[in-house]
Amino acid sequence: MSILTNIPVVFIAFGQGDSIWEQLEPALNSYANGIAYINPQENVSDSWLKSEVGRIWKDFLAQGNNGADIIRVNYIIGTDEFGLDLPTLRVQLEHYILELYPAGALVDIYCLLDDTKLLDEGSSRKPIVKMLKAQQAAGANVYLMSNLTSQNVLATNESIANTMAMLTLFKDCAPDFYVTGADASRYNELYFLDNCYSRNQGQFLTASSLNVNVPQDGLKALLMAELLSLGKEAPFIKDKPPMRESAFQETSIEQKPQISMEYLMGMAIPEVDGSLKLTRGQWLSRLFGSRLQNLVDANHTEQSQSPLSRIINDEENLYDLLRYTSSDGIYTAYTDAALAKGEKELQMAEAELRAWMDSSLDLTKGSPEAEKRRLSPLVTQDIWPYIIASGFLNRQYKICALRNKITVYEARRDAIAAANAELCRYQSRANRIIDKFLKDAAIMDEAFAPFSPCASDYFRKLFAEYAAQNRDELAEIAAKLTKAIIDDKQQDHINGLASYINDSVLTSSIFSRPIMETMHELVTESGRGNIATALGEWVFNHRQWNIKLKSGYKNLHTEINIYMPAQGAADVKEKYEERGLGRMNLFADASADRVAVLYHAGAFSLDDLYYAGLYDSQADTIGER
Amino acid sequence: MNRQYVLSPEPNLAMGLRNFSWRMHSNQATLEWDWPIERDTRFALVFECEDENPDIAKLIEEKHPHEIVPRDLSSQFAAAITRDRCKFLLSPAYFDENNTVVVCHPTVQSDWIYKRAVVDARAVYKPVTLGQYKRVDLHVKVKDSSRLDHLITVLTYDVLENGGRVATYSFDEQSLAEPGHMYIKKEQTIRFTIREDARHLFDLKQH
Repeated sequence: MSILTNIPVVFIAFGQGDSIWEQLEPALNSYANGIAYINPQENVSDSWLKSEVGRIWKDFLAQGNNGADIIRVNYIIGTDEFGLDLPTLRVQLEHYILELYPAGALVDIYCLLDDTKLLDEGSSRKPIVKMLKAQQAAGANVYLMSNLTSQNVLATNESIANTMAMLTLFKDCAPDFYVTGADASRYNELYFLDNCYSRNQGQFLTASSLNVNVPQDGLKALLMAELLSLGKEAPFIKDKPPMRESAFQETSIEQKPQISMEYLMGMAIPEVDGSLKLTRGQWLSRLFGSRLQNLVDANHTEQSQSPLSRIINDEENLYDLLRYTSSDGIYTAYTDAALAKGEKELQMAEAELRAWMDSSLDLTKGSPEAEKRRLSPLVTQDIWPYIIASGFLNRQYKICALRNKITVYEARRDAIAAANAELCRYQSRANRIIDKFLKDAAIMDEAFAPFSPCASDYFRKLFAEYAAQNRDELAEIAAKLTKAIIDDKQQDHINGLASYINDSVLTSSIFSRPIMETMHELVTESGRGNIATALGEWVFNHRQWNIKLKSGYKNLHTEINIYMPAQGAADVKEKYEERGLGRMNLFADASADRVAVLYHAGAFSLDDLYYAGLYDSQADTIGER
Repeated sequence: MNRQYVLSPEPNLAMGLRNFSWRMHSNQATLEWDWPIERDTRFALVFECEDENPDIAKLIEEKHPHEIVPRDLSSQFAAAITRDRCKFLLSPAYFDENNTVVVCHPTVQSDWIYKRAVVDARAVYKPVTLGQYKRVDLHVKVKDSSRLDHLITVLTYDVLENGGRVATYSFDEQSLAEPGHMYIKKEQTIRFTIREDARHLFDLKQH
């Protein structure tokens, strides 16, 4: 961090106040250094406090923060009884502190209010508020850190801690570039003294703060939807389908083997009248009747079971599979082509059989049908009846095999259509999941509305860049959706993707760009051009999506402190203040890569708070200003 | 004598015939049994019927044709099968005090008994002079033409060599009417066969 506190800061948290430190420490580390922490336990001894003050003094010296003669002391208490020890602890602690920091201690007191327990804590808060009024009257700034907004939206501990961290930052930090009309070190108090307290007899309190960054939940949802949609619009990897066209033509169907002549010549036939001029078909009918056809029929087994290896290969991308199997998809085209080819071959084979049957025997010398069998040196046998029987059977077997193939192709076509229907069901499941994430991702457009009409497109483009750089990795991820849905393990898959998003996508340089760069690209791409106006508008519109200003105060004034990179910062302030809706104090840091905003709502007294009514009138008499 | 028959009201009356058996020979069915030891059973009624599950009460009521075998004369019954298939039912019977014939429920019942069609099949061999082959003329004759269609599906002939089957051939309507001829090796013979599951329907006489 380039911003340093001029004045060392020590946080002293005890009782319920200790609960915020876990979130406060990282928030402070984001903005400043030179921070120390003391966590006194109940009934702590004076010597322990002394040793703790000594420890932080030593720590500050070790950090090189040894030039200060004044220290900021921030107490954090809750509404528990331990909080009532504050005055005592202050006396003990500040006794030792003032010995080390002779110019004095600037005391701020933060009291955490868990307003979800407003009624339960009514009685226990009363003495705390009385005590705080007394502290306030004695010169300490008191900040009541409620976790409930005026719209009954709970603020997280992180948000409250961020507000406390920024209050610290904006009080004492030394920015590279500072634009404000107020005093550099104590402008908050001065501004509100001038504008709020003096006019309204109120007391300044803070409202809430905001880290201006890409909403991570929305971005994760958008990335999740993108990961789940890989390959949806177009093939993610432009590759041929894994099943080649030949796979759709190949079958395990084989033509029946030729029946041996030896077997055929065991078939009894009537005497042949060689003077008859008959076609082969007529001879076959006369000699064999229906016996040959019976042989064909007896040996014919309809085969439709030659399935494709795996139409739905769960290791392939769901959307690729859908494209392959759709009615105009490549798998359907391959099957249709195989079917058309098979039908054509069948027509040809049938025509060839008809022509062969309709023609006469070929008894010219040398032709197979002219062959004879020698039964003895003196006797020969015409074997053409068996030759034509063999010819008939072979042709019929060929036709049977072709018919079987067509049956297989038709079954394959049906199987592909069935697979497509099944895949459509899987896609519906995937769509339902994607729709849910898209709904969550809608915040991206809302968040960046002042910068771009459709910021999510910009982030999708970033993802496309990421995808191009990590194509193989994503192809593997894209293929896993199919199996996850088939196995009904979508949640496991989503968990895996969430880890991948956290560990790989968000940590990549593409998604780790400084917020200013993101904002700049958003306005540039959308053609809106003016980042200052957009950011000013963005700050103004904070109510739309993240920060709810506390309202319900009698006299509400707002002030905005913004921490951002120096470039364009003055313009942002100007554009914002042009609207006449309040003042913006600017803390610009040349090397800052983030934008943070602190909203002040002030000009009220403790009595003006909406829970003031919980306290009896006696409370008002204590610690009056 | 025109006797009155009634069905025994007690279906399980212990009057059963024993050791029932039946056999077929040239479409002649012969049933044999032992009479019960008790002498109450005086004769048995033999029904020939074509129902899968014949109703004895109905048979008696409708006076279905039947034979009566008196106990003292015989314990067997023979009949020529006239129908394509039938079953025989034997019901023990006795006289009650009114001299009415009380017919018990059939004690025994035969399986389906089929009338067998006689198939005469013949292979006539004629050697080829100086050759390794012989001509075979096949002849098949069936008296009952109503079963020809069935016969085509179950009648085959085998070419045998050294007792082993070399090949099997079937018939069609045309070849059954005019089986024709073929040449086989000298050492080969022809055997006609009725398929196992049709042998109760056809009586193959091979010459």
